[in-house]
Amino acid sequence: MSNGNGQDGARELIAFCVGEQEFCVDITSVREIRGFAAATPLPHAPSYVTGVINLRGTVLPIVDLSLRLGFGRTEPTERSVIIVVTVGAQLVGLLVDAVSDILTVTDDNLQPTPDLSSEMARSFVKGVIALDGRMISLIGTDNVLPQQHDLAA
Amino acid sequence: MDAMAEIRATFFEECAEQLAELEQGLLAMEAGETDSETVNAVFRAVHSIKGGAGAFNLTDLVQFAHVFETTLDLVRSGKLDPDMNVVRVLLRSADVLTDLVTAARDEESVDPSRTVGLADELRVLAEGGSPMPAPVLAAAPPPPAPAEDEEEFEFVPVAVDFDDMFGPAGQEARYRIRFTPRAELYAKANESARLIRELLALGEGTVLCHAQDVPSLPELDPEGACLSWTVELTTGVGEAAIQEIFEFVDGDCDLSVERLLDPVADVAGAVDDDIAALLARIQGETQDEAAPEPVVAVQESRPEREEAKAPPVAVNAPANANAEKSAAGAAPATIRVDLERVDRLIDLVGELVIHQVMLSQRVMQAGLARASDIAIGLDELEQLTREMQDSVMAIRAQPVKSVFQKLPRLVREVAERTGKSVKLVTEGEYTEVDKTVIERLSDPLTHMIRNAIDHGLETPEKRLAAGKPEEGTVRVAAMHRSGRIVIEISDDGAGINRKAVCDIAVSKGLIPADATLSDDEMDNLIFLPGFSTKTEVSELSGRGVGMDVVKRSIQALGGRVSITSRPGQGSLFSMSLPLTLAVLDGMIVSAGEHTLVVPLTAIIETLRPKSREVKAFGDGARVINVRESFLPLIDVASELGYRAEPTDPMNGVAILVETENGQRSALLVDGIQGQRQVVIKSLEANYGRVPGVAAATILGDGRVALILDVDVVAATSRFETGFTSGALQAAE
Repeated sequence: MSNGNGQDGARELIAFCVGEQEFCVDITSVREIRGFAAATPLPHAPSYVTGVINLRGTVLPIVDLSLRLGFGRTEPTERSVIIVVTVGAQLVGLLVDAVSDILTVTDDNLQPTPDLSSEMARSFVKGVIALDGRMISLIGTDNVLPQQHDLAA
Repeated sequence: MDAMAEIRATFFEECAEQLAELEQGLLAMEAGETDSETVNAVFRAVHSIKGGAGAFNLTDLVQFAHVFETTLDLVRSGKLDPDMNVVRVLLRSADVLTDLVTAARDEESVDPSRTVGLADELRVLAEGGSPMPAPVLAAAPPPPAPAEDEEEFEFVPVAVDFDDMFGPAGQEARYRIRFTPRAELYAKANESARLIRELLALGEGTVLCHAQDVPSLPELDPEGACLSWTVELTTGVGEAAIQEIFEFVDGDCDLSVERLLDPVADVAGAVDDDIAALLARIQGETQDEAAPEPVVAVQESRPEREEAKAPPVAVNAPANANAEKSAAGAAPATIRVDLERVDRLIDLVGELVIHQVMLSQRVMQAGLARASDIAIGLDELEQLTREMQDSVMAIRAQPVKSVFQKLPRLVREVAERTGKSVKLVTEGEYTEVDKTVIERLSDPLTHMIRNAIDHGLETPEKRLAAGKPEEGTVRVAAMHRSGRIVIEISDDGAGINRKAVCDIAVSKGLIPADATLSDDEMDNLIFLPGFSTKTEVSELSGRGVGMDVVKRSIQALGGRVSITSRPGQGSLFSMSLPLTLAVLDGMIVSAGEHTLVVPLTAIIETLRPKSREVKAFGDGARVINVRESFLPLIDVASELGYRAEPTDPMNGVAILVETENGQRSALLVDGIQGQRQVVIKSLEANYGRVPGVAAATILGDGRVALILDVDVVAATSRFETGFTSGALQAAE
């Protein structure tokens, strides 16, 4: 098993594309990556929750990461993938355009989030990685699902 | 959890089992079954609890268990007659013991007045049994025990010297203890040396080891038992203390303890000694009969012995024992499994079923002949997967016995507090239901039984005046009926006072004063929210909740409850519950291009609306006229946001539903696809609560379908609390 945090502070990240931008998440939070499947929509859910799918008997909510980060709606294609991540005790599927890379970076490679006032920067981006001229934003998944009080409203 | 906490948890789990066995045994004794088998089971239960509690330093528990055990020991040895009064004290002691165990587990304390009082009662019983002179006892034949039990109960023929148990301590006596371990003793990691050492700690003694049975090396069975010992011990602690050392190896060794008399012993003593020796010989001979060759016997008889031990009664029980009892005694071998593992298995099998259905559909679509090998193979696969699903579901199933076992105590307590005399009759306690259902059954059942005793049964005086037996009867019965479990709670009390019920309902504004209700409707008024037959909340059945809470908790389980009552003859509450919460009978419907499941329990009927029956009501709302009553007509698809505008009722189907508070509504859907059982999947585990959706399920095509929360959908529309329709944007 790969270890996300090596002794030298190195960690592995899974990079993926949402629209024109590249993002990544810590590989330790990724449970699996699977192809796109049509979801059953949930009533009264925020627009970025596209619905739920059947993950081998588990009901898995799917978040359109593009919408969640404040971009446009993802139009699912055959190349679209769902990255299944653990958020606390929950499992969530992130709908992204494509998985692009597995990166090994050290903390030195990680730059602080640029000081922007966007919701995306504040809620999700934990830092930015510069790699061969690419800019890859490391995102945290804690806030991808709506909070319970949002649901009950 | 650290190792100690784990051991502790196991201890309390085992305690629960022992307590259940204790109560069961005592109830059997109350019913007149005072055979040594039952008594011994009762004794063993208390003894094991005491032993375990000692290891955890639970002083209160140990002290009470000790007094309890002492009294039980007298019953066991035939010195105390287990008559009604004695059994009642024992039953109450079992209750206190249960409380002490619970308190110990939760690290709380129990009101000492409860334990002290009972401990005194137990002591009085014990002392009341003691005046019988010991010599008579020693000479008396052993208490009558069924012949087939003799092998099981080595302790029966051994005369316990009473003076030593309760007489002044410090009186020294000499004992000869013959101790012959069997192979099982070693297999259970017990050690003879330790036992003998413990024995010697009681006093002065000599140990003689008999090694004559040790075979020559080539014939030696390394796991056999070939040594035996004779210990002569001078001690003042009495025979009971000696027996106690060997309590935990009871059944795994041959043990005889005889009291040796002084050299100047009288003739009677010598006879006594002879009898003991004779008994020992007889025992030895029966042993020999079963096992002619000592060394080989150990190996040969082992499997048989083990079998005899695992279900303690199975082998020895007379063949014609009644079915109920042998079912209770011959508990099948069981294993303890983490519930999560079972649930995981259930999930996997559910997934297997779905895939099997998918595969079948694909193969059929491919246009294969029904009789082709593949189709036949698929049929067989289907049958197997269904069977597998049933079997896996059955793992979670448990007899309702575990809930029923708690009832006698409840009845005793309520009867005591209300001053009524109550007999509890239970039926069908081996009826099996899913574990979760059982867990959630306990509260409503408790409440209904309290209610039956407190409100249903009359006082003894009134019963006598009405020509009924003084003792009232509460009957609790469980049975399977068409894929559900039905639990009936009936009493032979006064029945519901319909006039009083109606008056209360009117006074609380629950029904109009001039309402004309059928008897049945009047009886069911007690389930209305805000109804309570007593003006003051009764300490017992009230507890601030009424029958409406009971009804709601049963409905939350997907069940229904109803009452029928006959004045002067009693009432019958009947609850019908699903066998499992893992699957649900549902009606598969389509609404706005989506597939939904409506729980069948909520559905009364379905109908096709006709244009003259549907009326507009206020701003955009509609009602439907069903047999002269106007019910809200709710378009499910627009309510859930699947479409912006409600559809034309004439194009859909109206499903009449009843919500948990008895209100009726009509849900409009686009069409009905059929009825079937669906596996319930949690939506909350990974997402959260969704208003209007109770849970999810996975359909045959592998897609997720939502299970409608009928109550919320109906209530939302009724009170216009404002669901924002059209907020949902489908991703397809």
